[in-house]
Amino acid sequence: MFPMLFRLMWMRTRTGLAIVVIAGFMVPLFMLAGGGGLRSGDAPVDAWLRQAELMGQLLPVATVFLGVYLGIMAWADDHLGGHVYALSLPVRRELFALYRFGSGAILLVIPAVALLAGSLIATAAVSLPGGVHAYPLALFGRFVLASFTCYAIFFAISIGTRRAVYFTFAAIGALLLGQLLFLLAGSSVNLVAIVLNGLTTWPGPFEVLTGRWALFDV
Amino acid sequence: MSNAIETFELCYRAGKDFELRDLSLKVRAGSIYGFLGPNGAGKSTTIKLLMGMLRPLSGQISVLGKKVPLDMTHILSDTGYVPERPHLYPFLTVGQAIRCHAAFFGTFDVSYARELLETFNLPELRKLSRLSKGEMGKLHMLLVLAQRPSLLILDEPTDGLDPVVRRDVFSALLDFCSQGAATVFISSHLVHELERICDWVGVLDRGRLVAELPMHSFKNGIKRLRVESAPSLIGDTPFVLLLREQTPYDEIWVVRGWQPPMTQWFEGTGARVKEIVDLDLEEGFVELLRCARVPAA
Amino acid sequence: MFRQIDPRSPIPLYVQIANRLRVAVATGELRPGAALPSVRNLATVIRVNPATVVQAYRELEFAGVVESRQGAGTFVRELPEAKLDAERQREAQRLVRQLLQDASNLGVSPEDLDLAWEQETKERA
Repeated sequence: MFPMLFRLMWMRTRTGLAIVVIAGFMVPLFMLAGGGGLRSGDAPVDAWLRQAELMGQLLPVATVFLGVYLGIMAWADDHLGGHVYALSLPVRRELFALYRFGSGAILLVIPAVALLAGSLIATAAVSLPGGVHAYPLALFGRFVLASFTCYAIFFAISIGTRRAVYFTFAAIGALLLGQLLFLLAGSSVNLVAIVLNGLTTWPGPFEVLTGRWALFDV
Repeated sequence: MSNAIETFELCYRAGKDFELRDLSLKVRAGSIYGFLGPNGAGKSTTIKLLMGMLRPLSGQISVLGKKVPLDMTHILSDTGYVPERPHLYPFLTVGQAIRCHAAFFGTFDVSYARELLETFNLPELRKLSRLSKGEMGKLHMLLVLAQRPSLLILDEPTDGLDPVVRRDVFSALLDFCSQGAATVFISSHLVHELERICDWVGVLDRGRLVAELPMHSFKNGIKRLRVESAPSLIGDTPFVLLLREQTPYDEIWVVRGWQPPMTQWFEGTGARVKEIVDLDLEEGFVELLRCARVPAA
Repeated sequence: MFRQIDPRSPIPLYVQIANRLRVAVATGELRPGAALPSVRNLATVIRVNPATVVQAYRELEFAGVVESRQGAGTFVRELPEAKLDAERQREAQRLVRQLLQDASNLGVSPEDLDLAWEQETKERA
């Protein structure tokens, strides 16, 4: 049963995955841009590192996209049919959800592997100046962790009833509205910043997305 | 196990009104049970309760000898379900949908599925989202029959299908039934089709089970009489008089609870029963509902 | 062969099926020794409950028109000419009974019937 569910998820998401795979593979190679001068040794290392890091900012974006995409696609077809098909199958609901979750979790590793491959190629292609190291495995690990976190969260939201999804959007809307009210009242309280801060610093769930996404670092 | 499906005082409520009240169904194993009722009577709700998709307010449900929803996985592995609305994953092709279904049911018979694919003339490579209503209806039947289940629960399986497709679907269903001792629980508006194939009838009206009896008893219970020289005023009748109509030569009486010895009563009034006609299922069904809704005339 | 099966008729389906087969035997449409369609086949083709077909076949067996052989199916029996005559007579009786009933329902008198009979048989002669 799990192999069939995995196959279904694969069929459904391979196009979206392909996009992230290509992006993941290319980002490390783009990080090399501007590092051509490194071989001759006369290009400024600092500037290059900063540029490489800028390229790296694409990666958290990719992980969010991947997590949201897989989280939603995991349940999209079931939602369409009102879950009737899944409920008529001789599988316990919890097990069915677990199979679906597992399928997505396995699939998100694929773009991560593409990133790893690109990182290894990029690392081999450049001769690093002294003091600069490459961290392809760390980058890979971070990508997996970040996409897994996003996936888990959006999987949980998407499995919910329509009411839960509306509630989530309503909460976000209320936050924005609250922010607007504070602004109008002349207060300097930044609700959005507070919430984002809470989410992105430990123990917030999105902490893994912040910080530097650098393949090359001192 | 003598009853494939059994409910005991099942109650269900959605919103303010009771949708089902004290529903006690008994579907004998190996029978083809027709579940009739007007729109909104609660047929689909009952079926969803049997399938464990809704939770009852009170009462018990047992399917294939096992309790719902406790043993749901075991029940579902041996039950073929066709819901009212399309429920399969639309991005799959016909062939993929068959393989997908096969992966979940241990008793799935792939060669039988192939046979039905040919009989129904379904395009294996076409996506479900592109199938016509008739093709989808046939595919639903194909999947549940190929499961080779002990129980088939069919919720209006031929609703909206043209007569040719309906014929094909019922033929395949009957062919399957002839091969073994499967039980079929089928709800339908198509009373005339059910008339041919059902040996039991359950009638649901406004959430209550109004009648549950063998098909021949149902059809025999309500009669249409041709009466000659009937007096205009009648006293008490030994049967229930549901309707009285004039024709150019005689009168037509629709009665309930008729027994053959009652012709004697007519002799007493000077009238004569010229003919006794069984009503077909649809007419009997309509009369039964009329009777159930109006307090004793 | 079974296009006239009418679920709405007061006659039970199994009786209709059995009758149709009896007529087929009486007229020679089904010869002695011929095999009746399998229960599965017939139920599928005319779209009736297999139990109905089983009942019809049992009825025919009881009437001595067919016999079932274990594992092989149901077959038409060798019937003496007298028996076939009786079957034909039975069918004739049924047709007349139906005619008389229909006529009575419509208010057609026996005299009208006689007249019509004369005319029709004359035309056929």
